[in-house]
Amino acid sequence: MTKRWFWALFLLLGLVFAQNRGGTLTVALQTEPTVFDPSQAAGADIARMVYDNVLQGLVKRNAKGEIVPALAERWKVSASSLTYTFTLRKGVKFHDGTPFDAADVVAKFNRAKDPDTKRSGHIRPEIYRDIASVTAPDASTVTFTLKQPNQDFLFVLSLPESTIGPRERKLEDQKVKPVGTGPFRFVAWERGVGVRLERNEAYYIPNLPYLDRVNFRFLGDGEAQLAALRAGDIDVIAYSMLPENAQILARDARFKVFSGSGTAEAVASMNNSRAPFNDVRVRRAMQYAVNKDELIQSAMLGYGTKIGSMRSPGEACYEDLSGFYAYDPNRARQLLAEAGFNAQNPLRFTFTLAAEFPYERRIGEALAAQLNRLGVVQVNIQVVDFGTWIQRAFVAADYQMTIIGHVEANDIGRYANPGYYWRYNSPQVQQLYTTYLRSNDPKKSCDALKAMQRKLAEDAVSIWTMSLPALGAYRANVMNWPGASLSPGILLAEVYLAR
Amino acid sequence: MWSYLARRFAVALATLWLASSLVFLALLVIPGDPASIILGFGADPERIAALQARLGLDKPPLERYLLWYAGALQGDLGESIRYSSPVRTEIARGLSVTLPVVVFSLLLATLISVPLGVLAARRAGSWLDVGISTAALLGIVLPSFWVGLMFIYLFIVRLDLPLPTSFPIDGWRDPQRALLALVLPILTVTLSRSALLVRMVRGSVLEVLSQDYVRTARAKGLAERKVLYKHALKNAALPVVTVLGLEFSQLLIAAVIVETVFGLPGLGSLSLTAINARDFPLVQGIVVVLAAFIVLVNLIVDLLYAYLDPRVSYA
Repeated sequence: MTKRWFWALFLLLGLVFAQNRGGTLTVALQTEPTVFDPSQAAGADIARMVYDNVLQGLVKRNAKGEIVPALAERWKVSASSLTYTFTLRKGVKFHDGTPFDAADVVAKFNRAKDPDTKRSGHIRPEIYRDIASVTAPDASTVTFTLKQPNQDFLFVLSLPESTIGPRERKLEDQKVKPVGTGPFRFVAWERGVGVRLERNEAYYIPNLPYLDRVNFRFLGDGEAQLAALRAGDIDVIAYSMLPENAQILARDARFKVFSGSGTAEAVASMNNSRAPFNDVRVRRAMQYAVNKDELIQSAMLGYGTKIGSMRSPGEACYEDLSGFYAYDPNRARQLLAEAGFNAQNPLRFTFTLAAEFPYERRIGEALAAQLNRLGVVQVNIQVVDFGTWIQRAFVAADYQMTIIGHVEANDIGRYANPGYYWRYNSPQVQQLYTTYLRSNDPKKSCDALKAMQRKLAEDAVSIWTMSLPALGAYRANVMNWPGASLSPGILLAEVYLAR
Repeated sequence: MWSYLARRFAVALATLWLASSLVFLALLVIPGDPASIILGFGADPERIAALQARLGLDKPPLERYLLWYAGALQGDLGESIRYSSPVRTEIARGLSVTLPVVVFSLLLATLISVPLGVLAARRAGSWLDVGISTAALLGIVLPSFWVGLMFIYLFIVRLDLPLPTSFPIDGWRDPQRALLALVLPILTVTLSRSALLVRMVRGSVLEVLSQDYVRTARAKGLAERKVLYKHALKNAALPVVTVLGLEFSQLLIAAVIVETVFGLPGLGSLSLTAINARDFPLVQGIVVVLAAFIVLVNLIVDLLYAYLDPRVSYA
């Protein structure tokens, strides 16, 4: 009896699959990456396209942000948390036909942990620093030995830069046409226009993916995106949709608008090593002067989530500190007076905005307006292009206040790095982060991370203006769209077009 | 004539050299470098140095400058850092989109604005003139990104014409869609350019009509049509040709706004991208190609002068 039911279900599912297979999906993205191999450059856009769609790692993060198996079927962690043994999927092939096995994994992580980035061409070797050795006892087993326990080790393996390509593939080729094991093959990068993916017929999960082809179309202008969606030239606006366009589309039954909290915090950074923000009273005054609810309403038309530290509500070990500094302009003025600033001698500083980021720019402008409203602050807004921003503000920390979205999940650890552009040097935070990272006890580890969030808020290191919305829209016939996802990639394997 | 052309050629080469050198210098002076932009949030001084070495950007500027020239003299414009592809390929792609837009819209603009401008000049002060001039003024002040969006809304969203809102992902390998994708951009550029040209033609014809030789022609009893088309128009064409030449060179880059609205991978967007990425080989290449176009168009304009105005001679 059960067997018959099983077969009926199987046939039914098969019918559904057959019906929903096929079609082309066109997705608008805001920016065009420079390279498409996440191991060779940072950038959220690279991962959005290729993560889990083209390139896969041992593990991956799903839409809920959970770490789940990808190229590894399962893994075992030793009691000391120093040895991780992964059992790989068998019979997996790269898009170029070469078989995937343990040797590819070993080659990948030996390259990743190589401190000589000139030789390896791999970004961020420091996150792989704890790997003492990576070996392959047989073709489908990989063993990592760590120098010390690392709470984030699986998370590191789930990062876009930890995805694996064929070991013989040249970096120069992988950079412009990544070859992986995912449900879609990377077919072409049409410079200035878009990227084309096609179904990987040999994908190891049967019946997936549903779509024949995915086009990513680079459209920088929000209005052009809206027009293209309404005209039917694109099916999805994937992210960074303008809030006013979301309101327009929400009234139209042909489209569905999605929004939610992702992993991106819009951080108004203050240079903690420089006047005036080396004074904690001035930094705290800034926190009291900002009306975050109004900011979310005015700049983002209500899309956005209030936060109080460097973590978004969807992430693990989140501590809600959104009310840590309630809006209190009098308190702000009082603190500024203590620091020597008043109407006669107002606090003057330069607020640097990067021109290319529509959300951050408008939030920054609204924030500056709120600060100016205090009457004792004069904000000088300076708009620069991203190239200037990255060199001056980010690398050289030559700025007073700036704002940018930090998209990566679990990026609070940057506050434990005194050389990062916040220039925040707190031994206590560094200690807490070490406890989080090195502890063998998940509870203790989580507590340390929560304490770290609290300490950051107390020190008023940055203004965490909001968790940016994952805001986009798609045509109503697009099914299973991942929407506001906590994965670095736009997971496309199960997306299909309703007939 | 030949010595004139030889002189012009020498000046052209000097212009190209000067333009590309100035741009090279400017890119050295402005903040930002390709490696840190590629690395983005992964940038730190050590890693920037490593990537610079991989990209060959660690060589001293003078050496890079000379290397670039050595290549350029042999027709090799180098490789784009931002796109990891030959500069020549990228510029050809940009031109394949921008040239049709610029050429067709200037052609259309001329066809529209010359008759309208002449009409307005002949009936100067009449309601017709006021109407044409006002419409032209409107065409000048309306920003082309707004006009472009309105065209999309009107023709595609409202009237449901089978026009794409952006360039197809397959480019010219999908010729029908590619061609259709250029229709609205051409209309948008045509609108703003003909608005400008109508006023040019009107002013120019008005001025010529007040000249002595026109009065003489009329006095000797020539029909008004003959006065206008035989004497006045040819002379009135001089400033218009100059403006057309200038417009052509300018539009190669200035079409960037229209390109953004219509998602066209043209030369304007390419130069913006190249500058934002501090992709100096690409910027250099675009500047050289652009300067070459400007020099060429100026030459054509000058030669047209000789044809239109017998007083001008390059013998």
